[in-house]
Amino acid sequence: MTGSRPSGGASLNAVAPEPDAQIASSDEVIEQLITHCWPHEAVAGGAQEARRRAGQTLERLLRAGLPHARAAEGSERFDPYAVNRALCARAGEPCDEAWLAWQETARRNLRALDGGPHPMRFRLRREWHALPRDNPRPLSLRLPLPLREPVRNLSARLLEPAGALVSLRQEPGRLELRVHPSAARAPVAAEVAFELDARDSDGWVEPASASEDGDALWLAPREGAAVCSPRIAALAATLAAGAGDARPFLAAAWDFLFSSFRFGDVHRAPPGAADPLAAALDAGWVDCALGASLLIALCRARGIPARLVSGYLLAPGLPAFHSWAEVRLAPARWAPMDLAGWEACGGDARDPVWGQLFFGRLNPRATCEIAPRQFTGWGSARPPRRWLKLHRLAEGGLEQSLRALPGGELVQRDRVWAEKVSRAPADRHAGLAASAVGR
Amino acid sequence: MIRKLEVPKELGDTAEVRVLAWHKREGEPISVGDALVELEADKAILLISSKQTGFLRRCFAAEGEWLKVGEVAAFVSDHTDEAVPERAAQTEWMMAAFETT
Repeated sequence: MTGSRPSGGASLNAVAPEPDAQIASSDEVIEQLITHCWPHEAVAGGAQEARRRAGQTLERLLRAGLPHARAAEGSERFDPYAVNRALCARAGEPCDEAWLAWQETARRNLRALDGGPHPMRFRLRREWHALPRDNPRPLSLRLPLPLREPVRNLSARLLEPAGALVSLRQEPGRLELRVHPSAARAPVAAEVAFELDARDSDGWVEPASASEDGDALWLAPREGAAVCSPRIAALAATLAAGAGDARPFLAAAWDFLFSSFRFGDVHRAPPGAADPLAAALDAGWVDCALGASLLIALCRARGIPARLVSGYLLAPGLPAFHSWAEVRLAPARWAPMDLAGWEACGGDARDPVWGQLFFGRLNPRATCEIAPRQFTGWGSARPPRRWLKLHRLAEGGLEQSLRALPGGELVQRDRVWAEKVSRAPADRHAGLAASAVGR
Repeated sequence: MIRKLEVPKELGDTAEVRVLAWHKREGEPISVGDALVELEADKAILLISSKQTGFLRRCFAAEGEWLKVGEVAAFVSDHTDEAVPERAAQTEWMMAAFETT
């Protein structure tokens, strides 16, 4: 374990790209920088100024030595994750303007729904660009739904290709669309929309499982990236050593994560990797899912049940998919632990406002997955072995493109919208109305 | 002869799968190529089809329930009058095809 951060103004070695992930054009990187640093300015009429600032930021990073490649025609190609890490490392300059804008954006988004509950409308349009074409059976395509938050005015429809929908079924955490296999010849697009009340949460009460699995499910030594390797076990033993209660351990783990890691986009270990957390421990970088998985692995190594939870943060205009951890502190009580506050406090867990913001509480969100058994799932859309995500503002929402590595082929594209609504809901049923099924 | 259908490892890095749908009911005859069951992990759906004739005799998980990789998911038999043993009994494997859908 490195146990120390790159120093301020660190060399860009700390953000070295993966060579085959250098697939993003400068325009794509600039669009992504805008989403992190100046999204509110851009949507408030300052798109040109936001673009100018983002372009200047990229130029500055290049002057500071940001690694990049050149395409055959000579244009620059970037690993967008390395660009983002360069900012989160404040690698450009001390008191980096772009980093400060990033931090201010994070703070604004995290507090955008204070004082709730707020009635909100959420809409997600998903395009599948890489479906199996030789399959004679209907394709199973999935759209996310909240597991916990009651929804109303739920609607869903297949947008493209028209007439290909075979069936649509609502299940916990998802909508499943069965689509005629001929649809796989073109991109398939579908949309889900619903309203919900966005409110803070300080935990989740869930009756203890009476199944034979019991705690084993939440203590599994290997689940996704949460792997209790000998290294993790040794590390867990040093945190609040000797404490018999979960709380002092959690507090120590929280401080350790904030002080020893930077948060930014990282390339994940491929499925089946022996120790998916090794690279994070070596480099001192985690993203939301990897950081949560690290916390989960540490908890499990100490015999504390923990699990990975995912869903959508509901900041108006900038809803984003996100992952966090839940830790069981009492027989039926799961406490949320979300490291999203790192950006807001710059990694200082002692920050009186932001450092402990999501220790045991959450801002409003739509919870769509509780690992390992409740998930939206990929259905027939097989995930690439390696990938990266690119973001940009689009049509008043946030667009996320999933691209396969190496090569950069577009696999899946989501556009997500979230907005406050003021009117009283007309339909309080959570079920999907048959008339809402588009064809 | 009684044969067992085990949860295969074709779903990659996963320890357990959920039964999405049985395409045959207990007691129904099975032909070569018939779809038997769809299993799901978070990253894939696996369709298991029969490569032999017989009868589906016993399913060990209902739709929505979970099975561990390597667990016996079902028994099939050549004839309908063969006694179905305990789940842990040593039996031959049934011939089946696995495809991600």
